[in-house]
Amino acid sequence: MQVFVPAELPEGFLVQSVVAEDSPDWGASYQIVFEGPEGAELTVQGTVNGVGDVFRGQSRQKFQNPWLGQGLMEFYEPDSEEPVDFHSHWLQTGPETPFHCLSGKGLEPEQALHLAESLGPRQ
Amino acid sequence: MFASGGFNNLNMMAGMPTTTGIPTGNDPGFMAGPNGLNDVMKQLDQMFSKQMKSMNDLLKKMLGDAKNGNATSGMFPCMDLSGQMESVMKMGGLTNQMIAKVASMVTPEASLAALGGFNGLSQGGSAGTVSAASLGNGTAWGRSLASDALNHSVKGPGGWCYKYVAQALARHGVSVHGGSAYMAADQLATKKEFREVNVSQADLKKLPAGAIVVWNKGNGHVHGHISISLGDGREVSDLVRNQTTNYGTSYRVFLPNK
Repeated sequence: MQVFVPAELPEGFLVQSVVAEDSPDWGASYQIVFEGPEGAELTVQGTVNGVGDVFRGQSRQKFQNPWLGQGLMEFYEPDSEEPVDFHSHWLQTGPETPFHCLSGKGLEPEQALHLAESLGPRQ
Repeated sequence: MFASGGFNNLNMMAGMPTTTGIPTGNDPGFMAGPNGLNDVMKQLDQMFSKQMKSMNDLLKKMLGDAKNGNATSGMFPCMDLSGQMESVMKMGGLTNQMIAKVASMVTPEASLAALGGFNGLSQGGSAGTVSAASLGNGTAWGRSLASDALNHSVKGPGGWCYKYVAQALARHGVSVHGGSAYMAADQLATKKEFREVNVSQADLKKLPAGAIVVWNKGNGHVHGHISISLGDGREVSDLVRNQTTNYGTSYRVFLPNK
């Protein structure tokens, strides 16, 4: 399973945690959390199974990724139940391929979209 | 004859508690089984396939009228056109007793659900609906499932509802698979650990701990949603949220049996 990461992280962001598993029952999945200044956070997730919808936010915006095609980012207001400020819908390189998404908080919407557009397979 | 599988069909009501008082038939070869109207319709279909096609077409038309608000009768939307229905049935050789039995079993909810154009669950229809009072406090197993799912939930970022619910279920001996959350519903319907019930949207917050709600795909939702009730008006999947009650798609509810 390919792991997708942003091509370039915003200044001050560091890897906070990496979780990768390949369950015989449930298949492969990964989650990489990057921590930034002042509580900012960025998470990339991928899985071959077990996804649900990303909940709808107060606004949303399309983006285009060269590997994953057209994506949709949901943005949540601070009083939302969602634990993040933005969350992309699940992205796939093609039918029947693993799902990937990007989410986070403490970033400007333009930054979030730029990061989503730059997601690519980890070299 | 009728669509089978998926969310919008009468099969999903099989074995569900019902308040409609569906009669059990006494006529040999014309028995209402556990699937109620479906069983009868299957037998009718076998007996009078050609005539039944005509009857179905007519029923669809009538139910379409009812759905569009053109019918004036309350409990039985076909009543306004019952003369036509009766004629078609008599063409098939059905006795008056049989016709009366079919008529008594057809409710708007059941009929429209059977035709795939109505979801009694999401609409909170009266057919087979379990009231909040009868939901009870749940079971020890259900509370264990909910507690375990809560202990394994995370603070973010979301999107993995099915994975976390499936893993909680697996730790309790129930296996479900698939890419998207909505796929769990048909699998849970076959598990002895659960029984499917019809719960109104208003009562979803009153579900006991361990009850599972599966929201279908559609209306812009690609994967659907699944969660386990915590018994206090909240749900848990990968995250803890207030119980989702208005997702914009149909839903199915499964109560723990043990």
